[in-house]
Amino acid sequence: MNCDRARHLLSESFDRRLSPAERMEIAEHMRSCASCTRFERSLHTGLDSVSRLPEIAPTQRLWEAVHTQAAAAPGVTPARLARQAAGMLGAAAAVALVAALTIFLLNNHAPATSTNSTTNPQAASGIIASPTSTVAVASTLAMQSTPPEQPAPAVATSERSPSVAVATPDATASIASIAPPSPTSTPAPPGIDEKTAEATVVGYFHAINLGDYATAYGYLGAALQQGQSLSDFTKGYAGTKHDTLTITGTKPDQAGQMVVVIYLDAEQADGSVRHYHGQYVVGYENREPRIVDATVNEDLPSTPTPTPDASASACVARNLSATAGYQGATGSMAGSIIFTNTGAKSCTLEGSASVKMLDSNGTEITTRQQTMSLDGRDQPTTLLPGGQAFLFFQWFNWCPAGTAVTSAASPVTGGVSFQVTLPGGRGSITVAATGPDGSPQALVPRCDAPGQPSTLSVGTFRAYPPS
Amino acid sequence: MERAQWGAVGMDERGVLDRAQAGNTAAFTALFDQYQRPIVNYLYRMVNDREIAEDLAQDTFLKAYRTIERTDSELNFRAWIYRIATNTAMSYFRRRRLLQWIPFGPGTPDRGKDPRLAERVGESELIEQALAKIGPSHSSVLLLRHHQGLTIDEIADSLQIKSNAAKVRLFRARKAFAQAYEALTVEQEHA
Repeated sequence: MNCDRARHLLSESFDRRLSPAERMEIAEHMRSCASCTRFERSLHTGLDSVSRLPEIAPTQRLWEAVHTQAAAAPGVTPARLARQAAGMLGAAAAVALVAALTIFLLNNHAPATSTNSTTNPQAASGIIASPTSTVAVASTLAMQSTPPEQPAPAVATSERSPSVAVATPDATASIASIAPPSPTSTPAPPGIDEKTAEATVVGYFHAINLGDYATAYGYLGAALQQGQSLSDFTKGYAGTKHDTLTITGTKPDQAGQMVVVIYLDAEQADGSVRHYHGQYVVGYENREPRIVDATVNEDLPSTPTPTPDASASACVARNLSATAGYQGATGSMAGSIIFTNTGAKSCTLEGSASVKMLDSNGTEITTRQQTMSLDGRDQPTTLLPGGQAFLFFQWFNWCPAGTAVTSAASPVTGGVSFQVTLPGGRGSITVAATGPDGSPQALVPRCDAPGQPSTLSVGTFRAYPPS
Repeated sequence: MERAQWGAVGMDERGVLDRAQAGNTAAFTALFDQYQRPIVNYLYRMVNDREIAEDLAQDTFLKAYRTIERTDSELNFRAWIYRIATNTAMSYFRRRRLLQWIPFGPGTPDRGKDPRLAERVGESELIEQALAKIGPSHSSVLLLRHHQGLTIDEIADSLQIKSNAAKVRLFRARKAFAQAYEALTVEQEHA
């Protein structure tokens, strides 16, 4: 073997497993070649350092620059520009365009879908122009309007005093040239699909978490924007640090709109976490997907947990069935395991459980389990016969040997299963993770810290669906 | 009921990509969110300047945004966005090379010839210097493989070359890098 072949093989060893013969060949050569020995040391040490180079975090400037400049992209169509104005703009440009677009919508479209009365009067009572109005507003927007130092409101949502959005004459003028085509010139879009509806709600919270309130505001339908100004909308988030959204289901309504059922953990600036559940109605306005209605309630600690059967005993595994699924969540994998009481009597689940992850051979996937309390008020969850409870989980940092930082390793062959062992020796239940189409799920989280253990954070049992 | 258990915000990338290709801005936002950090870091390691890296990342995502609706349904977004980022960085290097002929024009110093090399430097800086020494053509392929974790096929797709050509390019890049790194280490030891 000469040096060139040895170095070829040393290089290839990063991409494939060398055969025993090849490894012996290299070892033989290196015993008598100091140059190749140095080459190998430099290659391994250097490339290992490359994979561990420290990361930098993108600044908010990047987000704003991309979205602002996208609006000014040459050759964009009016429809695209309108879409940008409503869904992607950041900073000042968005404020002007969104305000102007609001005026356009108010002047040209009856808010047919956004004037529905909310299904939960509590959710809408406080965040509308008039306390007696029945216009439903995305009440999640208001949930942070009570500063942390103030006592929690007696009802599920807090109050604000919004005003109608006002556009400057200049902004109004600027919208004239980018107004979407008249609805009469092209057919109206069909009913909104599930994925577009979910993406709309996700995009809305994404913008909120980035502090891009103008973009978030642009996701709201005309009636919701009419209910509060961008300024008031923005003020409502003064006490919020981060919202973690969980979509628990999506279903069509009779109006061709889509109801996105959500669960929300809102981390406050003071470190506390408030919890909400509810639904967003997403429909088309001016051929663009918009949040046209919402009903969101806070899970207040004072809300008594119903106990249908106070004498119910602890659930045992043999009387439970389970389903599980997960999906990507900014580098981690997040999902839930849902348990159904298949027994004839009520039973309770309390605290958390030991959860092991297995591959298709039943071999444990090494993870370190952490228990996370979602709200610090864990109570026994009673499952009536046929009733359900769930465990939320989040899986982080999967770094098999050779995985570079920020990259994802190969999926788990054959898919992932969860073995859940109930506390108190009440048995275990194993369930395969499956996607919406029933196929096995095998994705793994991003490798963030090679050498550090993979972590599975598991919540405590909670009633399902969240109430 | 089937959908009830699907956890958090994230959605499968194929579905998100389909919607982004159909012009759904929320979907493009999700893709931007997922890739902005790796792309900024890739470019940062290419150009060694945080502000320039963000400018190039901005160009990268704007180009992606403007053309994603014209891509085909089989698009590998990861390879594609790295391709745009690589081309954007290469354009930057070409531009910089031209500008360096202009007296007092902009341009970043050749860190491989930096007289401060004699100073004791950390491992990260040593790596940065080695990457600067081997040039953007080699450093891009090295970073794609060892910093960003792309497969050989994804690198081939990103560079619009065949897999075998990607392997050859990767070998040359590793060889150049190992030699540069070794030379810098020796210099540092004797400093």
